Amino acid sequence: MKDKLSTYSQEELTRRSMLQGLAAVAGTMAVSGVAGMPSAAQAQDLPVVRAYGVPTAALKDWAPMEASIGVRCELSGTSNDVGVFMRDIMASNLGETTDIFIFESGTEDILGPRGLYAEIDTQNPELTLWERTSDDWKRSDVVTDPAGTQWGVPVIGNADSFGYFPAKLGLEPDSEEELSWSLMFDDEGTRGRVAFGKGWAYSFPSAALYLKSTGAAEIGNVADMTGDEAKVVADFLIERKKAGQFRTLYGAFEEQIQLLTNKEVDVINCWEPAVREANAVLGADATRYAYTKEGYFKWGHGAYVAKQAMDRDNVDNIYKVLNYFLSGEYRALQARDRGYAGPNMDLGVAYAEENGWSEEEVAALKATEAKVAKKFAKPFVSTTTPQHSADIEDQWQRFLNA
Amino acid sequence: MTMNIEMENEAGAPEGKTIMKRSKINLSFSQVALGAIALAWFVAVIVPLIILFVFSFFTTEYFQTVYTPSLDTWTGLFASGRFEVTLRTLRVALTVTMIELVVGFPFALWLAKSDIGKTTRAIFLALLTIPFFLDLSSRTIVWRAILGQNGLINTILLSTGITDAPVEWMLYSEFAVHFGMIPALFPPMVLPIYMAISLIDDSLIEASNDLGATPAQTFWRVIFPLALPGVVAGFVFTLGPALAAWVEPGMLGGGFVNLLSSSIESAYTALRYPVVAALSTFVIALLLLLLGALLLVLRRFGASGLTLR
Amino acid sequence: MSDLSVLSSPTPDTKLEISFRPIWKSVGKWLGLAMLGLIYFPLLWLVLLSISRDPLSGIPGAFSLEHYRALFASDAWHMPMVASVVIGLIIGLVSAVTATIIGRAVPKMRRPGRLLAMFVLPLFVPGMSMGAALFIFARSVLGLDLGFWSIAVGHYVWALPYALLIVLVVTLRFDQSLIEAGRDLGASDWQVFRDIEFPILMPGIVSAGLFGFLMSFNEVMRTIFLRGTTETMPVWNWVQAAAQQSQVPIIFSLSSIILVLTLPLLGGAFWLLFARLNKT
Repeated sequence: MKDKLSTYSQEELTRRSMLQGLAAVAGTMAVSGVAGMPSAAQAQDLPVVRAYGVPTAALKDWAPMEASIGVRCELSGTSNDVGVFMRDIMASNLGETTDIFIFESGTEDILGPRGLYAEIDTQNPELTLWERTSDDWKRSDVVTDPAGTQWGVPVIGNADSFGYFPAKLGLEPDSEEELSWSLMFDDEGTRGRVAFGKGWAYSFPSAALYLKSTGAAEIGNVADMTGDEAKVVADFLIERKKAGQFRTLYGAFEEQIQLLTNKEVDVINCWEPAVREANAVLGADATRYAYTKEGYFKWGHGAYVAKQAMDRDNVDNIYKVLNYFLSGEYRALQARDRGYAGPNMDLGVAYAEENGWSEEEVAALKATEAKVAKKFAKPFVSTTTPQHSADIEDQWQRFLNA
Repeated sequence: MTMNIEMENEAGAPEGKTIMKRSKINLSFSQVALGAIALAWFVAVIVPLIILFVFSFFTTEYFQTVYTPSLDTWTGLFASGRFEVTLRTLRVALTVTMIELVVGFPFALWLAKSDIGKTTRAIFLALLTIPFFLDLSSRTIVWRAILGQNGLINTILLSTGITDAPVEWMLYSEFAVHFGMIPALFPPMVLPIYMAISLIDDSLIEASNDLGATPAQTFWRVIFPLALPGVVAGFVFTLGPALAAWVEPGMLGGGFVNLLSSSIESAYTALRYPVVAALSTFVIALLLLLLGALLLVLRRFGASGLTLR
Repeated sequence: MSDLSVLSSPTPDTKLEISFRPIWKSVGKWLGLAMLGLIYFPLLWLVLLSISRDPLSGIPGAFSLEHYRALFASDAWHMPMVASVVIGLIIGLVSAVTATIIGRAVPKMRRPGRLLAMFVLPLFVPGMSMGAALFIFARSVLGLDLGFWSIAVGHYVWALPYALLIVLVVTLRFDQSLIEAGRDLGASDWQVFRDIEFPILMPGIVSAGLFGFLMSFNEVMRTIFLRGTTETMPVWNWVQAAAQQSQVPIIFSLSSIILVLTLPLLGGAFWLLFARLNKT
């Protein structure tokens, strides 16, 4: 599989390219200094779809999409902080200027019914791949609200568990054995060797899932606990924290990579690309991403259309982009660059084969497909917007302050 | 020398009056501008803060602010123990500020008054200023590779046999947070003190020596009082960012040092503006009390250089 | 007249022996140097990491220029960089000018306490609180669209207190009788300012502008609230951290370049300010 390092190393560093870079910056500065900072002037005449969201969904380079569907996507990035995202859409009227929003599941439950997202027109002639997309993706909680209204198109997704060092846990490096989340929370062998994410939305539900499966707590929906349920889980986590289970509560993606590559911890509930990055340094299979007994933090990114965008004359182009998210080309590129899955994996494999990708790369795509199918059979689907978010957040702060 | 200070002040007051009288004749540009700035400032700072304070009496339900006045947010702040965040933040920030002061003052004195060349001085000032230009996260991230279990220091300690198990408290601890904040907040303490000290006329110091003052007397009666505005500025410059510290506790605290900014950030992920507002109000109130006390003490101390009367 | 010497940091040729205990001198020197070491050690490490193949491990090694290559191949950071520089310059200039106006007026007031307290208040308001407050005010109350202007307001509110306190350090020492003297000699207000006040206040004013620029250039917490969809350099870095595809190596390279560019630049600026100009 290729990673970004090898892509970069294909390029040649020449003094000229460095000078060009410097000149480009100087040039942009000069121009924008005079013109009061216009957006980057591109000489292309392609129609533009403006997107706002997490850059995870972005291609490293949009050129293949521009070549395929003749539409350019300008993505204005935000972090994966749902508060910032919802604020910008609700309070900043982003819909006036932005066509599509891309974010993790959950926002559609609030922003859809409140009239900020437009319902997806599944009959739109540009949405040619809708029919063949499986209901597992297109009708999932990621893109529909509890009433079943279709607010979005699935873009990417994965089932998150934890990364670990097989050698340190006495496991075979190529084992596909299902491990228990107890390695994260409750295992003498890993005590003091665990990194746990410090955001409540990502870390709280996994702990709840573990407690629910051991029967230690009765929890209805681990992704949306009530205040009382959250309190039980927080009490458990506080007890584990005091027992020294956690080496650190990490914050950012870089930290995940660093904790693994420095071998600072043995187990970490991280994103899958962190394991890939760590292995790029430590060697293949030095770290693994777990299959679990209890279940996964299943997440997906959806693309949602701004309500106001439907009154503009750009709708066809918007739907071309939405359809592109369902296509084989996008699927193959995303899987190669990040290891993430999405709807229509089979089209991704077909695309790779048709476009002369190496056998290794095609095999990796198929492996991603199989892996996701296996993991998605287990509970649970995450959300960034639990009903009881205020209570949950309070309980999480109690854990952090303890 | 105290005489000299007094003179300065006495000269200032009556002179000030006459200037004001004169300016009335042509209401000067500066006065109009000052009025405009003050008004704009009131609108851009005071009004938003008052509105934020008002928000602390609302609540949040499912990512939406409920505009029904209630004390729920405030009671929740104390019931859940969240207010501890503000106390911890104040403790860490004040500790760091005091350390900076203790280290920074002698250094500023040395920088301003010892006979190093102009060029050397310029280089030191540049060295103190450059870090401001650089992204704090990428500077802080480096410490993790040095303080960690398999980091540089532990590798050295283990290989030289000084310890036989890696030292764990160096990273992901309160120590690490202090350690990370101290270099980052050194320049804002040193620069204003340096400026104040370099403005002290050398002849004052010479005169003090000539009159037979001991070094300690010269320091406490001449240098320190004259440097006091710089010390206060440095104190404030350091304390402000220390209170808002976000990068260092996040990267080096390992989640065990939950400070104000992280707590606000967390509340924000559920769009809990009222919690943000209540936490902010609480910490600002604590801080203003603290500064009020500090100013009272300083005034007792005879800080005539301070015009914050 | 002693206050005229406000400017002159002691010249080496006077060979002034200050009477504070020599031990304190060396303690001050060595503690300070140790602190500078603590500041610059990670920076040098950062430069090493920026030319390492796998910088995220935190240990330099297997050197390569690939991240610089990636940095120059990408143009994604150009606009954020330009935005940060332009906003910083504006904030620096405006802060220096307004701080001078306020700073000159304060010594002439009899009770400036309340006014000063109002101006330095934002120093005690944590960044996220100020950002949230300004956001609620501008969006929920006034209904304005956010963008560069609101970022600039947020930065200005953060930078001015610093600029003001720096200017105050010089203006509070300024001998008002000099102005009297100037007027008695028949100088106009502007002439008094230009010929008497400005030369004496200049180090403070320039420092204020510099601080204004610096406070703005690295500001992120307020910007997150006030940016609309525009991006400054720190916000771009913040967004990339969430991209699940690390850009940090590029950020290391960028920081290294900024370090190498600013060191001689600022050294020169300070030399001009504090060493050369003092002679005249």
